[in-house]
Amino acid sequence: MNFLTAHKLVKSFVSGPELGLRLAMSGETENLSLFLQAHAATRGFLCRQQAIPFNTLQQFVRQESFDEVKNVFVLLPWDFLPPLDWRTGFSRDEFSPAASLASIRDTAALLGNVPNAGFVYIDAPIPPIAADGNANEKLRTHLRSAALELGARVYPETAFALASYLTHGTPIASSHVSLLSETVIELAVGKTRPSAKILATDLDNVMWRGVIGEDGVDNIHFGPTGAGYRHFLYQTYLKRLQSQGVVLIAVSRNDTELANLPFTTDRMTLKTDDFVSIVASYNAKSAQLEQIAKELNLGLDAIVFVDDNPLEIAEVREQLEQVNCVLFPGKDAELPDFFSTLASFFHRQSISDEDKKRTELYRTRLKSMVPSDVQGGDLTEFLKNLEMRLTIHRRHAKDFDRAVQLINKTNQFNLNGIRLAASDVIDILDNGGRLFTATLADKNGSHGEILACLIDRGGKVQAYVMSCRVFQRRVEFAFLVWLAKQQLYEQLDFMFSPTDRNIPVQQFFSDSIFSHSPGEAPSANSENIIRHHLESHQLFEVTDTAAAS
Amino acid sequence: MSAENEALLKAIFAAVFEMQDEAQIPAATQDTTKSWDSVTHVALITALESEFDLFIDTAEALSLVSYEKILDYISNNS
Repeated sequence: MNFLTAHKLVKSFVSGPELGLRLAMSGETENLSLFLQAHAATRGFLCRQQAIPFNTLQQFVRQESFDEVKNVFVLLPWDFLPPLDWRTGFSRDEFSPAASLASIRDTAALLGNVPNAGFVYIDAPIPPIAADGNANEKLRTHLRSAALELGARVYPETAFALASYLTHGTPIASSHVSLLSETVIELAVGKTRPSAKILATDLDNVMWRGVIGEDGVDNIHFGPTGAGYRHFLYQTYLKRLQSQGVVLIAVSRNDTELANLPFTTDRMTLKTDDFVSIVASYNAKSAQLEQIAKELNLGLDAIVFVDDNPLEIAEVREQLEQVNCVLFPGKDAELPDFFSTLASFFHRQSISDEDKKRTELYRTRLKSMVPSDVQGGDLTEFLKNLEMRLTIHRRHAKDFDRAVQLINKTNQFNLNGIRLAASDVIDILDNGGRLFTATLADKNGSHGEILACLIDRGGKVQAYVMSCRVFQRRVEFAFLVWLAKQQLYEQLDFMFSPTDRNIPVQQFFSDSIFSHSPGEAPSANSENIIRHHLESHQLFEVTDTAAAS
Repeated sequence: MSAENEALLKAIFAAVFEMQDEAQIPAATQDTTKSWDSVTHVALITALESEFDLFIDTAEALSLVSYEKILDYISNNS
């Protein structure tokens, strides 16, 4: 939850039972206050929060009697051993391991005696007070153990912000303020967030390395070696979740047969039967997830959605606020955090026989695959917010390498699957044809050259390809509107040929702008294109490099 | 700076300092804004880091004492 969402939640919260809470922390708690109220509000409580005065935690735990207010301690290493406090500077006293351990034990005992208490521990870095690094590490381990013995939820060192602790006395990093506040409220309420039930996962570059529609089943990687290793780990983790009763769903922009193919090869950890459903379609993922939740009769908040594409994550977040979204990491070093995040959503205490049979139960309930023609939500607003910029280039023999490469390596949005040699393209250009390409950028960055269109002198479209990275953005129509506006062709005839893989193009030709006469190529006239798809074109700031120069 | 980011910054100012009149926000400074004290400054830094996915270091946090300076900072760092 970010700051403005929390603010909006708190302002719009009308009333609910009061949740009395005393936050005991050796630091200022101002940056937590709003988030505590917001997380309490999401559980229907009005948070009445109090805090102990700055730097009085040691005094607080030594008082003789306590009132009935729930105490949640957010502990830092120096609560157990005060000389570790960064704010006090380095002590001149010699470090004594025995005295340090005694201090840790004594404080832990005092904390353990506080009634009505819950604990969070921030495993913050400590100053090197011991002469050797090994002793410092041992000290840190003792501190963490003491916190765990108290039953504390442990947060990593990234939850601590030295800069704001030194400047303002606020030790919690902004990146962890919301999550930690949620934990504090959970401890105060005494209930944890229910475990999620569904893991909905993307396939390409998540389940395996590569794009099945482009690379083919023999060139994707998912084994415990090289580029496939991270995907192997992911599959083994999903297999474990599935055996614990978590429902696995695959959600992919693909055609059904392709999406299923790798699971039938017997080479992957996961098999088709491990999934309740493999939903393959070219529609918005938010629509696919909504459909799944409806079919399984589960709330959207029961879903954890994993995708490697930040845009897909953003689209789902925008359309379905309750779905928990997790970005599949781009770097191996980020895998431990990624798996910890997933584990935090699926935190079952015990596994029943029913849990173990859940996949089978839901498969029976669904009976068949979720239809792949579910309609996407209205994406227009989402697409407008992307601030997309489409730049059109007119290519010639000297600069058409990327265009030819795109035509020859694209399988899904490919007009006819015909591979062209450079000399074929040169022939068409020399005879009055034109080759256009388009690059796409949006507020998140550049997607590079993503579209190529080769048209011969007579207005016959010989090649029309688009990268699968930019599906669902209406680029294919925006480009045609731009082309129609150039008044170069009254009508375009598309040399379409269905292939095993060009399902997206077959869907594209179901649009109302196309005329289909038996035995003839699908065609569209310029007037129709503009009339029907001006709105798609207006989603983009279109630049024509020829006009610009 | 994009219009979207500027709108976000104004929303943060309105929320943190409870400024009702959006027209006043661009001229806001720590000296001229009554509710801008050390406590709300912490909330402001948290809000900026949270909304713009930033990490603001100590010296920088202390120097962000007006809307204009923050606007510059966000333009250069987000």
